[in-house]
Amino acid sequence: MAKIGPVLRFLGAGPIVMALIISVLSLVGCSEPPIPPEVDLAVSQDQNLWKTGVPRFAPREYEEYAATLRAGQELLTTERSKFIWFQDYDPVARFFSDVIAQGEQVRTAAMTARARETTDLSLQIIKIADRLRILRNLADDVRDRKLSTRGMARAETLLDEARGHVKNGDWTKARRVIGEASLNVDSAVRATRQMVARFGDAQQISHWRALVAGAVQRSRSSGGYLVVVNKLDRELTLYKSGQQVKTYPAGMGINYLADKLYSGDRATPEGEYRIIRKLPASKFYKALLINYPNEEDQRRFAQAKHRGEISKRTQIGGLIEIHGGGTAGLTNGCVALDDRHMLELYNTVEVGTPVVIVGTMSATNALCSTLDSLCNAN
Amino acid sequence: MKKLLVVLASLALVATLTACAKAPTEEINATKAAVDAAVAEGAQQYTPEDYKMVADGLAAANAEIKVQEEKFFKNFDKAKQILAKTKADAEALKGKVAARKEELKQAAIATLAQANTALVEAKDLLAKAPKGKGSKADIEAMQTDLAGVEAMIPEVQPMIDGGDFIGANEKANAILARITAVSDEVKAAIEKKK
Repeated sequence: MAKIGPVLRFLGAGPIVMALIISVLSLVGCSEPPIPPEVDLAVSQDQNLWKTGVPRFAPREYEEYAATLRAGQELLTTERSKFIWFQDYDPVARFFSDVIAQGEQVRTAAMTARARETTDLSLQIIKIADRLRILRNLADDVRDRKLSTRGMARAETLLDEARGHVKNGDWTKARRVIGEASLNVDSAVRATRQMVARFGDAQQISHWRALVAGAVQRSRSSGGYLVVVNKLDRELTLYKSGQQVKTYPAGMGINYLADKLYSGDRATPEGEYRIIRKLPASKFYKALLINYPNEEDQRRFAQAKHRGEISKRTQIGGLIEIHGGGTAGLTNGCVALDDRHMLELYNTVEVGTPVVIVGTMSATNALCSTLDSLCNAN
Repeated sequence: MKKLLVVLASLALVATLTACAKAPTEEINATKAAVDAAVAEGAQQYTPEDYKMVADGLAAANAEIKVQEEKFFKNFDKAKQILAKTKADAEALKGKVAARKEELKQAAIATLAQANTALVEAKDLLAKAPKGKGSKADIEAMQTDLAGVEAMIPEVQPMIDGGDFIGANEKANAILARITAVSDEVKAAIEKKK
């Protein structure tokens, strides 16, 4: 000490010692106060909100929350930047407490939005699936396979896809796919409606009723037999002297609801015909050949050709029969009966017996009411 | 002379304590580039939780740097530590995202292949199905259904090519499920005829 004494005196020990003391005090004399626990809690909450998809489910609310959190972090940074002796974390703790409270509100808002959106999308899916089911049932009930369209299968697949998106919480994709499925169902409903519009047309139904009424009257007058085929009811009714004798279930073709226009359309013709030949040994048990095409059929066919609705090479077709073979199968436009019923009919009627084929007799048939409900449901 | 020495010594002391600490600019840039690379790979879409961690890491490092920049005696060690960890996490995340995408891509490709195989099987079943009375109508309807679903298969590959692996998976799965449903219906129809 005695040796360094003069050196210190030389350098002016007083100011240096003071500077050193201040430096040491600054560096180690007091430690930085602890960051309030609310800060870590808020950061952890933010990560948790993110993890549970809150930014997706409540984007606006989350953005407001994130902005508040950022402001809190700015406040913390400002406070930490101050000289240790001047740091005060109480306002920071209070601010972050508010952030945490806001975070909880955002979480609630997000969960509510998620539940609401999931329910809404699920209901949309159910609604479309219901319309599809009705269309499917309609196709099954009337057994006209033209009513089963590719669009329906596509819509069903899209609904499966949409369910996956809803499960993943990807609402944007879910909405887009649901929209596409809905368009496909709308299109299927429109196509179906177009195909069966005649069955809800009062004028058309009056015409069919008039055809049957006239034929029944003539049967009454002549005392002869009459065969009436109701396509929508899939029934063949035998009349004698204007009175119903018996009704048989009947099977028809893949496109039986349409009025036959040309060869190969697999539609069952509508109008007034007569039996022109009895076939005791047909491919389908026994058969009664009718005079399709009649004059009206030929006129319609010529008009359709003239209008370019069918090609020039298309033939009008023929060989429309009432035959056996069972009602469950599909014909190419003929009317099929179970063999035992065919035997009864075959043995009863003669060549020349009138045959009237109509779409329906009922103005309130199930087909149209179902389609109306489908259209109204949209 | 003495006074001059005292002033110089004090200045040297202050310079020693403050001037050496410089903001870790290179580390910040490198970490930001690593985070950006992970984002470009699709971290926000495919691994949102991990993305949040690295984004928070970068924000924490920036906050720490800001704090230190305001201090008289700067110390960027903590910021450097956070940056180093965040950079490593972001680099790992980029790899993780790529792996996740590849996993989803392969899953979509596999499901699409399964759908194509199921389609061939369903067509075979339909071809073999008895078209006698009673089943012909159902078979025709099933053919229509199958054709409707088949038309959707070409929509999957462009989604895979476009990087929408999650969407491609959902579509491929829905197609496969529908084809399987048609196949089951055909089998039931065949069984019914036996």
